[in-house]
Amino acid sequence: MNSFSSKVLLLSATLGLASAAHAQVTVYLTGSTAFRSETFNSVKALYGAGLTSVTPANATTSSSKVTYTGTIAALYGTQTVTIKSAFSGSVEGIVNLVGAANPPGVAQPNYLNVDGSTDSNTVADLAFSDVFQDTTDYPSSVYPALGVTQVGVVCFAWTKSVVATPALANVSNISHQQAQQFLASGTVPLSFFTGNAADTGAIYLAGRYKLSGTRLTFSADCGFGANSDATLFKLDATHAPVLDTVGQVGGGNVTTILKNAAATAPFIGTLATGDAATIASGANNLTYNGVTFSKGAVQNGQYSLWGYQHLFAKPGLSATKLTLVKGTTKPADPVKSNGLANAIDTALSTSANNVQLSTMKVGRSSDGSPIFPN
Amino acid sequence: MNPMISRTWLSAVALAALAPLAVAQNFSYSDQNVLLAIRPTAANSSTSSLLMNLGPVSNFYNAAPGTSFSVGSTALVENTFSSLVGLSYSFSAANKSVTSDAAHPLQTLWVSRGRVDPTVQSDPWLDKSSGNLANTATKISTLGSGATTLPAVPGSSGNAVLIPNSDTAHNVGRWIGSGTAGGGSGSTYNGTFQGNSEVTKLAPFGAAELVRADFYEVTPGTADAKYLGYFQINNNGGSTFTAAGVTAVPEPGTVVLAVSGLAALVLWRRRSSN
Repeated sequence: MNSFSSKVLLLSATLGLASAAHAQVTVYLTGSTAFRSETFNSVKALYGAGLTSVTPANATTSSSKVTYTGTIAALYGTQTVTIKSAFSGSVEGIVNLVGAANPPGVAQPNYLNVDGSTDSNTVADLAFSDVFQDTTDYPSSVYPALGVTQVGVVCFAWTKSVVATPALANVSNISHQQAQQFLASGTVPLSFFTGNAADTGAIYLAGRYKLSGTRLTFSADCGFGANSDATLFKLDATHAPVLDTVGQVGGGNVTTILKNAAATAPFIGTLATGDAATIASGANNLTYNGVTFSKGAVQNGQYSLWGYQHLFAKPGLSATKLTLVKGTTKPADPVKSNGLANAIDTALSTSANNVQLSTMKVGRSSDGSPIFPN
Repeated sequence: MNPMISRTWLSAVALAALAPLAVAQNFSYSDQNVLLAIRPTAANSSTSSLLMNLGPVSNFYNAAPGTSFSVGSTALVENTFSSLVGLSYSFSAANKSVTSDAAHPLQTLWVSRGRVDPTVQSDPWLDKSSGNLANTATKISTLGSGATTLPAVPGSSGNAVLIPNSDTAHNVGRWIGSGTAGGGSGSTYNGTFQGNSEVTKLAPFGAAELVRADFYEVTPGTADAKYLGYFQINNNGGSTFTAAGVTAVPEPGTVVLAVSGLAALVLWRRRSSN
């Protein structure tokens, strides 16, 4: 080998190493906000000491847009890994992954670059969802079937408002037949819930917009029909109930209605248990078919108002990016891997409102379907 | 909806083949639009249903008494179904979003009812409580709004969509069928409505058969529903609407004049006979 050949080989090897050293993995996350907090904590846990930056620097567990960068040695060695999250809603995430046109009035979120500027990309790799793909208006019978990993259990509760008058002490339970009617008409006489014919005033329903996994879960679980058009109400500037033809974008908006002590009429709202816990520390939750929400009641099958937290993948997503979810160990059950699914399961161990998949003694095959012992 | 719109539709469908690069458009639907749902029964081998948006229901309840106009697209029906035998038609609309219209309160329905004798108006539907009507309003509204996620038939200006029976989320029977979770013959909107809104055509294309369905406005209350007119399913698969005719009610001034005239006549005869 002459001197020139040696130099060429050396240069090639150097370039190859440099290329490996600078290979980057960028993963875009969108979808439901339900596990935003768990995602924030579990992504940081995955990076561990390899996390070099979080954008914005003051991001919290409730931030909708966060970009993380650094290395995740267990999954990607020395490669730089950037995870960009921009949460929207369960159905928006599925719309994004199947490549469907956005429903009217909906725009997909964009992401933050590491320097804080806006990433022009709006196409996600992975999307969280509170509901199965086939529960949505974008089912696998019409659109591409999405690969999925279930990463936890998200729980919900019917919750009454804080108004002092009329007294709502006797509004304590909702059956699934009552729930169907309440979702259809949006308002019923108070006696419908109290059983007292003298309670002739009206009580109103506050809830989420049509692309919300919360809304789909409530509608599916009581048999109303996941995508059925519910009748909802909100409060106007005078704190009086008015028709809400769109529905609330976030769970926080529903809690605002329920917390309004100046409201001229009582409400019941549809909330994830995390949001419900912010109203009278969960004391305003109704029992559902006579059962009080608790993690144990979900884990063992008494309380049915829950759904899996799904992590859907874009069709054709590369094995490299899927490694983030399923890890390098790739066990049959992803929550036992060394990837994000396991990190979320671990993060859920301290949650008061949602449940670790690994602790469930029961399961279900679709949203609102029968619950069976595992 | 008027005949001009219908002709425009037909032209648009015909031009569709000449415009292959047209931008895909989803089905369009707004609250209180009239939906014409045509679905195959077991006697028809089609694997899809055709859903058409006939426009605001106000075009029907405000139509001049006795006037007729075609609705939807005959060409689409012809192109979609190889046979008319065993096709069921239903017409419906619902108010899920307007609280300010006293004449048509929230949860008002507009629902067809097939005639047993095509020359005799059917018994009207009955008005029901708002809570009762809300369940059917939900089904009608969801049929329309759910279909907005699907691509419209090219050239239909977003007014028609073909929905495969295999589409579990959107198929017409899912929302209007008599079963509590959809499907089933007859259309009671999953058992939420008081009767069957569908009329089924049994004769093939070209065969003489008079098929009519009355169109009623069902408001919260306890009276009979209001009769708005009737739809006729034509032998080519198309439909026409004929608004209810005028029931002559003399105005007070006319009555006064008539009574005065009669009195004068009686007085004149008495005087003549005297």
